[in-house]
Amino acid sequence: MKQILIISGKGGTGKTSLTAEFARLAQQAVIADCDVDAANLSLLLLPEGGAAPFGSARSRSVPSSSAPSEGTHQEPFYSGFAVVYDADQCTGCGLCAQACRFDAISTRPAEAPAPALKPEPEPAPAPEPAPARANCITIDHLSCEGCGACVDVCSNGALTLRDKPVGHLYSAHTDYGPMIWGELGIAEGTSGKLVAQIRRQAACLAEEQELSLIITDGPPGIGCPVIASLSGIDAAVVVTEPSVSGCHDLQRTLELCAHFEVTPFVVINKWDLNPDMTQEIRASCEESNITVLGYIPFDPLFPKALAAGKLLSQYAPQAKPLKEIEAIWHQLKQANF
Amino acid sequence: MNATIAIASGKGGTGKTTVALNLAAVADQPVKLLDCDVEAPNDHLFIKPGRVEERVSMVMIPEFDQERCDGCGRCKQHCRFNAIAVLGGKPMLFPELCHSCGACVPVCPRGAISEAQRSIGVARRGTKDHISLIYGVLDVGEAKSPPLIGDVKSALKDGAEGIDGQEWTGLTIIDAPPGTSCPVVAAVKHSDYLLLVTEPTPFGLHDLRLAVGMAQALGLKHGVIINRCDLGDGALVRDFCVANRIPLLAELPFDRRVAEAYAAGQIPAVAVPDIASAYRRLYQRIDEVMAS
Repeated sequence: MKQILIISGKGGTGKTSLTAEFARLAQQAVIADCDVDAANLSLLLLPEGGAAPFGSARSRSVPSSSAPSEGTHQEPFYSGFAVVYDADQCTGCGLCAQACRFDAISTRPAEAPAPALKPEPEPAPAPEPAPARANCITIDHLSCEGCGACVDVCSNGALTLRDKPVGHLYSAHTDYGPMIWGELGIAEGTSGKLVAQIRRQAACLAEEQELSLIITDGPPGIGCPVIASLSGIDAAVVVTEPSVSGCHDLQRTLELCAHFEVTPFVVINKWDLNPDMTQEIRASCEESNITVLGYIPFDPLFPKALAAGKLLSQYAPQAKPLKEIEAIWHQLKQANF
Repeated sequence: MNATIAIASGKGGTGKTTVALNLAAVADQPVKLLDCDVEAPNDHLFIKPGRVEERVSMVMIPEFDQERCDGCGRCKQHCRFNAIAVLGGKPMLFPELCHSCGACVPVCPRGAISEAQRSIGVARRGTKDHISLIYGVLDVGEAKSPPLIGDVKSALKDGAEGIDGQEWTGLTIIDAPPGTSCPVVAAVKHSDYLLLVTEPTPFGLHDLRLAVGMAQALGLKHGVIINRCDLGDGALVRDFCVANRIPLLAELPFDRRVAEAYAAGQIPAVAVPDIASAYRRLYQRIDEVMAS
């Protein structure tokens, strides 16, 4: 079984669009989306029983998660801990606030919460009155890392830890194969763990359905979710663009691949927006013995296809970039990894 | 203007850095520009600050005195991040899992755990014209960016400082990373206003929704900018903003000259002066919505 990961460093270079086309060309593979902060691949690949294309004239509403209601299996994902505060046991000693290194505990009363996001305008809920006691604490759950240092120092049992739901895992069938993806809850950490879980499930699916390839859409950046996506990957396809930012972030991504001993392959997207810089990238890759799989030309049909919620190959089957993408895919398949 | 304006998006590549650079460039007062995308920092490539100072960013990790340790394993059991293993009676740390919380230190009955520092990257500072740039560069292979982001933002706590002899007036612009999870929260929290840059596509809207959720969870005043507004279906985002009463502060059309300037490492509002007025108007709009 082989695992291919598509990453970039810089956001917006075209990872998800390319992953979708690879999934189509592979014909049957397990498809995974490890960009758990902002999972978009499912919006393109329309899991079975899917709704109208998002953004079409028929559908002005966008669901609150990337999972359509039918044909998608959903399960909550738990990771780490949240702190539970029992004010009745609290003596206001403040040791918890001193022990916390993440500024997550303060010894002043809570302010009224902001109204939650709603699809239709509604009157804001009346704010809860601030607690009257002067010796209470406020926990900032967004800053809390669930380390339990506060629990350890509290001799009154006013603080305990509970398991924390931090997101969801989804799976569904697409026209190109089974797909797994996940979404981390807003402002959550532990993206690496959710990514690891997605990858484990993808590997199980591959075994169950006797599929020999997993194609994964990766996150931007080089931090924890990218690292979790990278380990054990056979080939990392790094999508870059010929811009100063793109080059800079490509270098850091290639260093990351070297650090984790993953073979990188480079794809230069929108190459003709700056042929000189494309040439520089090509020369630099050659010097480092890194294969450039191909050069995709800029085409305004690409963003138009995305705006319509479609793959380029569905929106404009004759579009120029598609031939190059196909050549890239075939080169990748023949490459040694 | 005396405020901290953070710029985030959800989706990568919508134009956060472009907007941050342009706002900093057209400001008619000294400005601190914080590049908190420490995994892939780009602002310095455009600002090209002179005389850059650098400070190593450190986190605390436990250090085990193997002489005192009796291999009881209490530290391993206690760590909520599974960052400590005990192999052959000897404790070992997985630094990439360690959150530097210090909870393991008092747990050891033999007092065998102390804390040491470990470097995770650097924070750099330099100025160019009226812009004081502070940015972080995370070491390649480091998993966690929030501690370095915290270091970059600690520049906000510095006392008033002169930039070329001018009084510091407190305008700060924060360029945040893509996404909506802990690095972005670390970058944008406590800001006075959050600008959410999106694109008129289903991807853009999907991720904007997540970003708005984050803004709400953080209690931050926020507004939306639609970048490349003519490349897609602008009504998508407009309808969303109206339905959720979120101010739509600007709709910026695609401009190939801007794309080319950006690709060449030039600040677009400087290379293409006729777009500067759109950003001055943006400041006025931010002023209006912050006051309301």
